[in-house]
Order: sequence, then structure tokens, then C-alpha cells
Amino acid sequence: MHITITLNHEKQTFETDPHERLLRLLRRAGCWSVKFGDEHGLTGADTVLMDGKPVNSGVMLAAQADGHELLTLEGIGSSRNLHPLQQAFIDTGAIQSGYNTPAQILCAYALLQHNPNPTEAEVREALNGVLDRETGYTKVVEAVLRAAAVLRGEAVEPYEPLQRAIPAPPGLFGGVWDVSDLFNGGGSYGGDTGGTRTKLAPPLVVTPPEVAALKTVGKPEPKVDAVKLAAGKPVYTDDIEMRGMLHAALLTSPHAHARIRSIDTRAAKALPGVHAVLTHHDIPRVLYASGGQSYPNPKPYDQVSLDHVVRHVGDRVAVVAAETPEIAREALKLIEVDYEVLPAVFDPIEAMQPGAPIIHADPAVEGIHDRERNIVHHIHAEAGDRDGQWAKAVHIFEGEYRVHQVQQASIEPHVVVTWWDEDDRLNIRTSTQVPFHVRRMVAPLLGLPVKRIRVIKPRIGGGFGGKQEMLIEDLCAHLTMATGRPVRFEYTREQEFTSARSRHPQILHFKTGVDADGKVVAAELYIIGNTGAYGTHGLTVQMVSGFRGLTTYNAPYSKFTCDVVYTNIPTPGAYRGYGAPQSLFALEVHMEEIAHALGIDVIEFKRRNWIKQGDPLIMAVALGEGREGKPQIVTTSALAECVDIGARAIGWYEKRGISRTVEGKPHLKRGIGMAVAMHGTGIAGLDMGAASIKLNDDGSFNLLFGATDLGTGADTVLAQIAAETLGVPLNDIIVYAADTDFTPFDTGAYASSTTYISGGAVLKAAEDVRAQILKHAAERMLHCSPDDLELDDKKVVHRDGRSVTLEAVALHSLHQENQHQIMATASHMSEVSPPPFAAQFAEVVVDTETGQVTVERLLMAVDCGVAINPITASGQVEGGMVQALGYAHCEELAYDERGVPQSTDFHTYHIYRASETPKLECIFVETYEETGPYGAKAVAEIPKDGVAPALASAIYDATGVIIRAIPYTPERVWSALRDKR
Amino acid sequence: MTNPKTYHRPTTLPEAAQLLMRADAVAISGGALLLSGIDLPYAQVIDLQALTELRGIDHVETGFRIGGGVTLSEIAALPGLHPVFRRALTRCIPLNIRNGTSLHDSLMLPDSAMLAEWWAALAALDAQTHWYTYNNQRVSFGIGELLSHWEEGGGTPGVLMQIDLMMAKGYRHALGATYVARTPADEPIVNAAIYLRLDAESTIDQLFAAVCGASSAPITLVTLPVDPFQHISKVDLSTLAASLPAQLEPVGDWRASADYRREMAVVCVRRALEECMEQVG
Repeated sequence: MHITITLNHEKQTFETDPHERLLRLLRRAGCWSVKFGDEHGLTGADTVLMDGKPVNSGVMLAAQADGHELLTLEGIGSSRNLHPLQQAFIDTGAIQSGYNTPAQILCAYALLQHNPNPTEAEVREALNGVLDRETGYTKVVEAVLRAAAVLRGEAVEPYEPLQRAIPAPPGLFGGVWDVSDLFNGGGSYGGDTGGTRTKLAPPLVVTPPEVAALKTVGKPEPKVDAVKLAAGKPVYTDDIEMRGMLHAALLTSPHAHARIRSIDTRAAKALPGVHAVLTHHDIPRVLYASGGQSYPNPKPYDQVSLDHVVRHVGDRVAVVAAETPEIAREALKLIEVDYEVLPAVFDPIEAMQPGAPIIHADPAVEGIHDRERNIVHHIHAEAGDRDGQWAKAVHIFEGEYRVHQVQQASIEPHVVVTWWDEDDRLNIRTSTQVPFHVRRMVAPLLGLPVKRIRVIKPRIGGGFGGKQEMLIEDLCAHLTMATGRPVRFEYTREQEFTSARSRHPQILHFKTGVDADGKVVAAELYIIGNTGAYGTHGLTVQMVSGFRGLTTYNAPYSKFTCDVVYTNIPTPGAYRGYGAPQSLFALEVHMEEIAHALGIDVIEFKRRNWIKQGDPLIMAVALGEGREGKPQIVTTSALAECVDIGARAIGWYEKRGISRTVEGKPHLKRGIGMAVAMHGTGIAGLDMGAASIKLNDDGSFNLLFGATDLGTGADTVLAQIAAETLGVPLNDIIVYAADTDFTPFDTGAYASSTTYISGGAVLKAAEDVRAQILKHAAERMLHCSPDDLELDDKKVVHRDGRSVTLEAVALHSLHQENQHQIMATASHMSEVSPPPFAAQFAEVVVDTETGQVTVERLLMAVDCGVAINPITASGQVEGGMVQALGYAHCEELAYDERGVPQSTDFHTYHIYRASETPKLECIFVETYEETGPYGAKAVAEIPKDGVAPALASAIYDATGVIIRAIPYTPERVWSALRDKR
Repeated sequence: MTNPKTYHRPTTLPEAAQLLMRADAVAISGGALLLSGIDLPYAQVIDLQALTELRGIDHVETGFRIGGGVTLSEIAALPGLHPVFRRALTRCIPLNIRNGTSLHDSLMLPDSAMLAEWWAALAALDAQTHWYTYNNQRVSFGIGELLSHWEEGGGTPGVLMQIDLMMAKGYRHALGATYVARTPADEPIVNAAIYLRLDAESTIDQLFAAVCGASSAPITLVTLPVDPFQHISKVDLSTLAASLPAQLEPVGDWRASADYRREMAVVCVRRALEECMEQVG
């Protein structure tokens, strides 16, 4: 059928099928800004404006648009002619991965067309149809308000957040400082801010005196990829057209545990348009572990690409390649599978009992600790004088805590495109955090040498650890090898919930000894970690849980034991925070309980016990990450200052412990809570990044690295480090990242390592290039000692005032004298992992009749070392807090008694929307970490650590009840209140 | 192969009714919720967008008569719309979905949790719906009748032409609603709506309650024990709410147990009643 649409102001006729969704047609038409997020329109990634109103193109037939006007981001502005909304999104740091940015801009555009002076509430309402898993919405709202002011013709101040940077008074670090005036005011963009929750001001940065005045580092530079993301350019894995490309679809298990007796693919193969149907009969049985980790990957290798046993609902059964996605899905329906359903077990305690179903019976799978009891790993680590320290304990406290399974829910699903190139090398274009691990790990599964595989990482639409896995690349590659054709494979949203990865659920038992002075002297932590059907990250996540759970308070005697247990639930893996959010929830709630029991103010009790600058980390050697750890000492910490400033900023002392109800509603109780957090910065002695920098004719530089920017701003931060070192503006650094053929190795984006580890590599390479430039200029151009020269403002400057431009140096060194390429490659790893620290505060209202908790405010004061870019760093904090809020409050993977997932879409798996997100505030209390590039530590993961225990603390403050399990659903809270009564 | 296999855009109601006679046909008007998901179970999609007679909104003294093709966004934006309806349409239904969902669509989906507050409000008011049937008749049902019709296995009556959100003259009216959910914009676990009508002497003329999430059916119409012509000031809210559990047969699931749902139904009904009381002073 033919339809006529006015698309981006131009009347066009399209051929379409009755079943074709508008989303598909628009992408066929080159409107790459319109994205797939889910099949229900709930992510809003598929938003377009139809007759001026936002609608979801993924839940519309193309035919419905016949005769209508459609507008996509391509019709609003371009990279060379940005609309004020696009510019504002760039200026305010509202773009992280950018995957949903086009949808957000369209919704804002529609709002401003009829309401040029919206309130914040109206902006949030307009954005409500677009889920944002990254920013926490704060900067997005700010961008819309700013653009509205511009469009009204009002003068708008340049967005210079460091105008609010405040050099810390000498007494701050180690002293007390009055911050009461710091939170007054803040800018606005005119108009009615109607009950504003967005602090219309940048994050507060408290800078230690020793931080030098730098030109690029520490500045709120716009992201290097911001323009193309704001313009909606085709930068993601799926934004590619290839002649003859086939579409893959995956058949998954409906049973939690079953053996495939037989599988008949004849009817599927006979379906016109089907090119390949692969089952376990068609693929070599090569054992592997899918976690994207350094060589050698921790055992056991308990997976194969397609197996004759399925171990969870959603496990792989067969994969199809066909001419269209619809044909591929139809083919799946024609595959006949005869299952022998096996007993299944979902509770890890039951799984460890004698007689429980054995989930991995194959003796070929090596490295399982106790196969009959489904214990894949048993961990035991301890440090200190057990008997001596326990003897000092006059109080002993024990508590059991439970945390649940949640999903990363990046708005871009897992997606990969594979093809043979002209050299018969297999190209894998994939949305991954670990391209180099993927190349190494997929090679043996395909029977190809690494040299015949190229992995390309385009922009990623969010990862959060879920893409730290070699998850679907093997199947897509097998299909390309079977058909010789390019193949595209994208998970459905349901498969993201059933067949991707998630956070490990755990049961944690703390036993803590406290001496007569209120000092923690001994701590023992036992964790039962549920690793689901496969081991993948099971060992390392639990080790991190143990390390984090025993380090913040660093008891002189510490002991960690853990059983990592197989069950028949979908497999957990890496998720931002990687074990820390689980144990820090338990730890912080446990510490709060102890403080109450001892009658000590909770902040005072924690302050008395938390690890201090100069302290060794007791468990650092005993607990590494999959291998023995390295000795660690806290070299920098502003935790005390974070707590002090955060407490004053939120009004802790005026609110805590004072019974408060909402006026006229005695069942609504207010509470305020806090938690502290300590995280890591990369994995000591393991993570490695490398970077190459070369000088171009015009004095600009190419910067190449293997680190992967998930939307965090890593590319920008690394470029800032290079620019600062080389004395050039940021736009003279041309970034190219994460292509195994062209960029040097990097372990990938995880463990909060990129700024510290990859940034260290960039710094080293830049310093090498800088030395080469100075040497050439000194010897061949200015005839002086390099020691008399420095780089500044795109020039080599002599202390006597003479200078040559970098362009002149480049032309001279490339073309005129002693010709050579000025370039360098450097690698960096670190034997230490300096911890960032944070104080997390939360304010809640608890409905004591229903148990419903409403979170009104989250404030986090963070010591991440020097924030290389305070805007991108604050974006990490804001977005991380909202993700953590979902963990604490409403997100949950649940199963029925047969192990069938109950939350497989965004109706049931609720992610915070713009209208309900609480007020978010971020304060940086900077330290200067000598081992980090320009004083940096990490910031990406620590926002995930403190929200759940801070909510626990706030609920306690409101109700007097401590609840030892999350999420804080209405029934859980109601039940606890009922039990108290 | 893939559904829908045919797409129709009728321009008259008789044409639409004719097309909808087929068992594998579905009518959409916007369709954002009906087209949700990968597999559409209908081979024929009948798009009602060209039926201009479904697009009308009449604001009359007693309320609104709203065409079946009017979107939920347009309804939510109506000046003078009762706040309970506006809340029901905006709290947990994102703008994009509202823009892509018509009144007609919404009445096809009584079991959608996203629409539960809208349905409860319509059911409490027992709003009148007007349909154009497949055999070209015009019929009307109250929401209660419609729910009974469906419970008994009846199909969709036809094309929804209009719905009346009206409150009779000569009375004082109140509409109250409340919910329990995980977050402020989450779909409700349990929700309730109450419609209260008082005569000039402030005695109760009508009192209807609808509860969602507290039985195996998506919506439960419950009877509150009020004596006829009882003066409003004599009504004991707690007693009314306490009469509920016997009328409910909640089914527990992963979001909430049956016990919790039963308890929350009581709380929600009481709070909805309190809101009604505030409205009538």
C-alpha cells in the first residue's frame, strides 16, 4: 500500500505493508534519530511529533500516519544549524548516551510550541513519556527551561557553572565550615518555576586549595560528541544499512530447567525468506564464560553458545536469520522443541540442600566448587587477629539482610551487526563495554583466530555493566558464518529482562563486635550470592561485595565467607556498582542499627569508625577481584567533609529525630536519612588502558584509545586530559575510540576505571608527545633547552617570550627538518585503587496506612578527587542516584513458582519518570589524588551505593522501623509497620 | 503472515461496522495501547480516525459528552473536567501514550493497569456509553452494564460513539479517588473511586464505589451499606469502608499479597469517601 506523509516539512509517498510500524518506516526513510526502546512505547525512544503532538511510532502502524504531518529531530535542526533546544541540551550537559535525546527534544519542542513559558512541572510532564536511565532528568529539565528563555528572546547567561566553584577555606579539610549560604538562590530562566525541584544552578564544587588553576581540566566543557548526539546522527550500532542484511531472532526456553529431547527446524527452514536456523546440533560445543573479564576469565566455563539443556526461562534454544524481522519471528514459531522438563530451584538456600536439582551436571565443566550442592564458588578470606579482636568486643550485633535482582535496563537493548569484509575478516559492530574482551572471547567460539575478527564499538545507548558481557555477539557471528550475509541481531525488551544480565540477589549476614568505646573491632560477613543459571560474574561480584562490605569501617579483624550458588533464574552479571550496592546496603543499615542500640548518634558512630586517610585497607590483599589483591592505603579522603557539608546543606540537624507529619495528614510521616559510601577506582593490578596521540599538520591531535564511553562523558574527560597537557583547546583533540583494529587495547568500561586508568594512559601519552614537541621546537626551531619551553594556547612558548605555534612545529617536523611523526602510545595500569567517598542523604514521606514511600529529595556530597569535568561528573551522580533509587524503591525482577519472569516490560518494571523524580543535588568536595590524572579518582559507580541505606535510615526516622530488605514496596513497609504495632 | 494483514480506514460508521463484523478485526483510534507488543492477534485493523463524528466534545451544563475518537490527552485538557478524571488520565499514563490513545481504545482495555484509575472513575460514575453496533444499531450502556456484559463473555458492542461524563441537575455531587502504588507515577496496585450524590437536604441519593486490584476481575463494583435517605452527616466512613472485605476476593501476585490488597481496598475506599466528603462540605 502507498501512503503520503508530510515528513519534516516535505510531502513524501512511501510504499508500506499493513503491518509495518511507523518506527520502521521512518528509519527506512533515513530518520535515524527515531529509536527502538521497547515494543510498548514506554521508553519513548520512538517518539515523533504527529500533527505537532508527541506519539510513539513503535506502537503505530505506518498506515495510520497517512495524510498526517510528521516531525522528527531531523526536521528541527542539524549539526550545522542547531535549534536552541539542541544547543541548550549541549550547554547544560543534558546529554549522556544521547539515545533518548531526540525524543526528549521533540517532546520539549512540542511543549514550547504552545507554551513558551512553561513551569518546571509542565516541562516534567511534557518529558514524562520518555524514560531516561542516565541523567536523572535534572539537566534535561534545565535545558528545556533555558531553551525556552532563549526562544522567548531573553538574554541568557553563558552556562559557566564554575562561577559557583568555591575555593575551600583553609579550615575546611579537617575542620568545620558553614555552608548555610551556599544553597540560597541559584539562577533561573525567568518565568514561573512553579514549585521548582530542579536547582537551576550547576553542581557545587568545593575545591581544595592545592588544586592548580587549570585551563581545561576541571572545566564544564561540552561533551566532544554532544553535537552529533543532539543532532540525532546515526551513531549507534543499529544505525547502519547494509546490502543483503538479514535479521536474527532468538528462540528462548519457556521452562526454567529442561532437556531438549528433540528439536525440529524443518518447517522453519522451509519458510520463504529464512536463511539459517541454528540449534545445538549446528554449533560446536565450546565451553566458555560470558563475563567480559581479563584473561584468563575466571572459571567455570559453564556456557556453550547453544546447548541441549536449558537452565532458566529465557535461556537460548535456537537462532534464526531471515530477510525481515517478521519472517524471523514467524520462523521461531515453526521450530518444534520437545522438552523434558526437569526439576528447578530458585531459592539459593534450597539449591544448596542435598537432593536439590543439579543445575550443571556436565563433568566437562570444570571449576565448580560443589556440583551436587550447586555451589559454584566458596570464598573465604580473613585478615587480622581473630581471637584478640573478638575478645575486645563488649557488644556483638548480628543481622541478616536481603537484596533483590534488578536489571540495567539501558534504553538501547543489546544489538549487534556482523559481516564479512573484503578481506574475509569477520566484523562485529556491537553495543559493548568491552570490545577487546569480546574479540578475544568470541574467537574460540567461532573457530576463528583473533586476527580475523574486528570489533567496532559505535556510540552506546547506555550499558551500566549489562554490556560488560560477550552476550549475543557469538550467535550473530554464527549466523553470518552460516549465511555469508550481514546479520543484525537485537534483543527484544522482554529478552533484556529474561536473557540478558542483572544485579545479583544476595542474602547477607553481618556479625559485628564493638568495644567499650564504640569502636568496631571485628566484623564477619557471610553472603549467599545467587548467580542464577550461569557463573559469569558470580565470583568477582561477590568478592567485591565482601571487600566493600568490610572496608568502609575496616574492622581490625575482618572475615568474609561466601557461597555463590546456581539457581534456575536468569543469570545476573555486572551492573554498575558491581557488588557494592548490595553489601553497602546491608552494612549501612547494620551500622545504623548498632548506633541506635548503643544510643550513639548515627553520624557520630559512623565517623568514629569509618576508614580514615592513611589507614590501610584491612582486606585489600585477602580479597582481590578474582585473584589476590594488592595492598592499599587510603591516600585521600574527604568523607568527613562530605558528611559535614551534606548534613548542613540538607538541614540534617534541624530535621533528624524530630517527629514530623504532613500538615493535616497525620498518617504521612516525614523522615530524613543518611548513609556513607566508599567505592573503588578501577581494579588494582588488573585494569589497563592504552592511548595513542599524534600531531597533525595544523597543530591538532588525534587521540585514539580503546576505552568505551557509554554516555558517561569518558571520551570528553580523556580529551580534556590530553588538551590540558598539550596546551590546546578541547576542540583540537579529535577522539576516536574503541575499534580493535585501530585503537590500542583497553580492558573496557567497568569498575569506575576509565578516568583513572585510561586517563592515566592518555596523560602519559600526552606527556610523551609534549616532550617530543618541546624537543623538536628547542633543537630545531628556537635553539634552546626544552626546559625553557612550555605549551600554552596552541603554542610553544619560551620563558623569554618567543614562541612558535604548534602548527609550525607540526609542519616543520613533518615536512622540513628531521622529518618524523610526533606521536606516542602509552599504557597505564595501577597497583592502587584509591577510593572515592560520599555521603548520601534522603528525605522521604511514609504513608503509614499504606506503606507507600515517597522520596522527596536526594543529596549526595562526593569526594571523587578532582572532577575533570564537573558537569559530566554531576550527571553521573544525578543519574546514578535515580538508578539507585529504583533499586531501593520500585524496580524488581520477580518470578512465579515456575520461574517465569513477571516483570518483562516497563509497565511492570517501573523506572522513575520525569514527573516523579525527587529533587536531586550534588556537591563535589574535591581532594587531589596524586596517583590519578590531574588528581582524579572515580565517580561513575559510587552514586549507586548510598541511596538504599539512606532510604532505610529515613524510613526509620519517619516510623521507628528498620527494614532489612529492599525494595521498599508499599507492602513491605506496611508489613513492617504492622509488625511493629 | 505478520498481523495485521489488512488495514482499513472507513469513512462512515456503517462501513466501520461492516468491517468489524469479522472475528479477526479490531478497531483502533490512536491505538498506542492496542498495538502494544510484538504480535498483534488481529489480521484486520479498522482505523477509526476518519470518522469525524467520533471527534466531538460537547460541554453541557451537566458535564461532557465526549466522542470515542477523542484522545485521552484532549480529555485531560478539558476545562471544567472533574479533577478526579484529570488525575486518572495523567498520573501514570505518559503524555505520548495519552496522545496515541482514544477514549474508544481505553474502553477496549478494562484490564490495563495503566487505565485502572480511569476505569474506576468511569465505573463509579456509571458513565453512559453510546455505541454503534455491528448491525447498525445505536445502543447505550452504563459502565456497570458494560462490565457485566463482558464478564458474561459478551464481545465489544461495536464502535464507541460517545461517553457521557455528566452529573444530574438538582443534586450535589462528589467524586473521590485514590490509589496505592510503588511510586507517584507507577501503575496502581489497588485503587478506588467513589461517586456520591446528595439531594437538597444533604441525604444520600447515590453512592457508588469501584475498586481495582482487589479481585480477580479488573474492576469490582462494591456496595456500601448506606441507609436510603441517610443524612450525610450521619455516615460513618470507617464503617462503610469496613464493610468492604466481605465483597472482595483479591488475588495475590508478586506485587502484593491478597491480604494487602484487601486491606488497601479498605483504605482507598475510605480515603476516596473522605475526598467526597470534602467536596460536599
